[in-house]
Amino acid sequence: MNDDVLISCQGLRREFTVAEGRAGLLGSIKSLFSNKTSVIRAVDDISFDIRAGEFVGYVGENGAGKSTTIKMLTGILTPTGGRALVNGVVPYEERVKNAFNIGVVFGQRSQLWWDLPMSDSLDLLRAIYRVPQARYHESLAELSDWLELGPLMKMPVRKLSLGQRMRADLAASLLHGPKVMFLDEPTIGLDIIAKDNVRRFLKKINKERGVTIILTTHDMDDIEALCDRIIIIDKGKIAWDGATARLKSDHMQGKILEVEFHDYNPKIHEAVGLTEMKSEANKKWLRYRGDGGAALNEVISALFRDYCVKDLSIHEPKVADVVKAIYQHGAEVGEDGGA
Amino acid sequence: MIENVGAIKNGVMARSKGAEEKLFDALERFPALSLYIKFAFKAFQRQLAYKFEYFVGVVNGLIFIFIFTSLWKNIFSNSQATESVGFTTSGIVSYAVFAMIIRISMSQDDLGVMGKIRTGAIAMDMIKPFNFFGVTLAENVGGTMFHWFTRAAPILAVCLIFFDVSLPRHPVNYLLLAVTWILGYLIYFMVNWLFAMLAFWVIETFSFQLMKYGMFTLFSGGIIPLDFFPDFIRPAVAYIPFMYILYVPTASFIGHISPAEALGFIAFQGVWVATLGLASVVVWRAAQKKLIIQGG
Amino acid sequence: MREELRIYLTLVIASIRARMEYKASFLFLFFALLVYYLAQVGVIVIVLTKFGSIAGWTLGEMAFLYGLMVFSQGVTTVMFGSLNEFEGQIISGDFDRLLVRPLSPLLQILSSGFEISTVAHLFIGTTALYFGSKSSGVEWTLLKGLYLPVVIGGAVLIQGGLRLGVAAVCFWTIRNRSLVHMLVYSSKEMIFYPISIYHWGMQLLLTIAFPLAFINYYPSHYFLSREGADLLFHPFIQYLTPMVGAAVFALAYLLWRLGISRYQSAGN
Repeated sequence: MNDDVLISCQGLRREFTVAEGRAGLLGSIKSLFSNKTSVIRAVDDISFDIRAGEFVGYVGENGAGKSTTIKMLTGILTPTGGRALVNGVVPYEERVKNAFNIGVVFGQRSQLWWDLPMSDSLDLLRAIYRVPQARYHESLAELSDWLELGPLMKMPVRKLSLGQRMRADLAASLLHGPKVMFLDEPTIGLDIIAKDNVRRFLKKINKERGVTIILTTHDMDDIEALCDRIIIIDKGKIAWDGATARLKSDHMQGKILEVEFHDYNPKIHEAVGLTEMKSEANKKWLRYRGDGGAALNEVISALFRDYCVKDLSIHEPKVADVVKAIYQHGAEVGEDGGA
Repeated sequence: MIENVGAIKNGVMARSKGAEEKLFDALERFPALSLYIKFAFKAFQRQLAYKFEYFVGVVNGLIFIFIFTSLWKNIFSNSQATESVGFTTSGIVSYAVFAMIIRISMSQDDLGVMGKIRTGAIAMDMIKPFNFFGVTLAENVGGTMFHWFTRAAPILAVCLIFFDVSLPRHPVNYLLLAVTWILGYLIYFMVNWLFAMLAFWVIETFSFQLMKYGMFTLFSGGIIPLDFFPDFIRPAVAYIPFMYILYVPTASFIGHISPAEALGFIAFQGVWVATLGLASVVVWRAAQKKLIIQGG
Repeated sequence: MREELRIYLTLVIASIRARMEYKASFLFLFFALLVYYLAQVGVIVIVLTKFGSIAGWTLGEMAFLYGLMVFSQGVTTVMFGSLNEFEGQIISGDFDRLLVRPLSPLLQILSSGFEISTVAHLFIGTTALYFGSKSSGVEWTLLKGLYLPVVIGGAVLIQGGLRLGVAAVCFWTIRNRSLVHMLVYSSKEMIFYPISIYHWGMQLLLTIAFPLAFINYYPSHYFLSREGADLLFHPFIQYLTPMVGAAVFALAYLLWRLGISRYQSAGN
């Protein structure tokens, strides 16, 4: 293994046994006496290596297995199979040791004490993470400066706005100087400006302080803005793993055509040179690859000629669209030289 | 929590119209009534989700019954003062058992009302086109009925077998029970409601809840029948609503008071229902005004 | 370990300060608690007024019994009170937040819940103990004086262990609301009264299965110099409270650790 691989997963697996609830009143009564259970593979054979200084976006639908993976890497959950290493430590075997090496920010839940002034919360964390005074003050000064926490220090956390609280949580997670940071939906619920602040900060600590960051999010703009690498997880398996730049170059060339038809939704003939990405009522979203083959204007003309098109607009492909397509059509779309 | 949404989604069974749905279809003709019934059903259903709780709920009730029947049996076999209270040993044991069962049968879970007021979620309820009071009552009834089946009924069964009590034979007792129970339940509901309304004006309602619970424990008759109170306190107890919640139904049911006396108490129950009802309306109007003006 | 204790104390102080933020309700809550407990006491007082004694225990002796229970409950609540709401932490996933930190999750939970109710408990408990011992003419020797805190310590371990065990159940059943209600609150009711009023089977249960009788009933015999006539067991049982406390707590802690490892291996 390379020296600078900080996080390593090999064949990670996690199964859950779930009791199936039943609907309706009679169902509820029945479930009192018997309950069917089924086994779910939330994480199914996941392997990846993350090197120091990477900024990785970990993307997936709800239920795809993102949070479960993160829980295993932070020591909260033990895998049913496979192995993980963070900073040379097995997180679920040496929870405390691992905790000293990582910083965690949960978007929905603050690590701070609700009723206490922020400075007190941070001081408590200093004690918990055993940060020497001198280093703590240095860290705090820098983080406070970057996140503009100065005026907020004396305020109890419950009085902070969501954006302010998130900044405080970011500072809190980095006080002990961890090399790895896990972020779970950090920009959820934030307004545009707050999001921007958070993103700028994350980029800064990644580029200037070399903190390795794993970001799970639904917000594709976060991914586009921040991540040099994307791992897409779908139904427990890795659907795509590679540089964001490659995702763009492989799948985001060309255009997306949003076509609205008159009262119907036809199957588009292969010859037209488009692949279907999404379909809804009378509308279709079609991908024009632009890699050799017909020119865009020819393809559009063919559309109008062969079908009853009511309206058509042309969009730049976005990461979100590609990811969506990968969810829907599986990993084949993600393979090089795919359809 | 498990993110099982994606996986289970595929396991949801296709349903044909069940009995429940057919019932609701029929009720469509009475929109208000069906709404209340729906709420009651849903409350009932929510409770079903907590399986382990049932068993423990039953044991809990039995513990209290056990404590007090033991206490009374011990005291009444030893002391001469027992004659003065007008209870025989089996009478007081009956009282203890049925008072507890009636108390459990009136179980009202802390009306989520207070929580809703504190979080401001109550504004959502006020926007909706229904009578909040009525709906809360309906939800409570749903929950209460659930407690009948899961707690009151099993406890009654156990008590009849193990605790040497028997049900009264005369139908009059049951009639009296029905009337006094309904009135007592309403009084209990409204007392709780009024205390819940405090949340509109006071932040720390927990203190008031504590005091209410303390007074209820002491004066409702759930543990001590009115007859045990020293003479100088007894008249005062009549001026607070608590004894009409448990003492009156229990004493009427087991025949500790005669039907004539019971009717007298029922009249007083009626007075309390009316008074509390009026108070509830007044307080609710004031609360709505406050909410609209101040935004909670 | 020393480091962890230092952190624990820091967290406790922080928690107290957090509660102090709500100054006004502090006093009012204290008052409300007094009312609540007076109602509880009221039941017993009314019964004793009417009937003279309960199973041979006079008002003074009952007061002592009650006081021992309530006082130790106060101390228990200071240390273990925050476990009552453990169910909520599991459900909301809040527990994960504690696991991510390099500190024992138990220590974190225990240090976070300072409740004003404990002050009320201690106040009422002390009053009852004082009144009870005065009224029943307890002869306080040096030995008794030294043993009292030890007994209270044992009683705290029993109750704390019980709460810890009940909280640990959440790791298997997620919800334990009713169990908390039953074992933490309702069961107390049983030992307000001398357990000799119960069927011998229950006395056995309260001695061996859920050793609540060691909290106040058995040790009271020692302090009140009661003859052991109403004891089912050998009179030596009046001295066993501290040992029982240690045993109960050790078992509970074991269950807790098992629970955590289950949480990590079975998911939630």
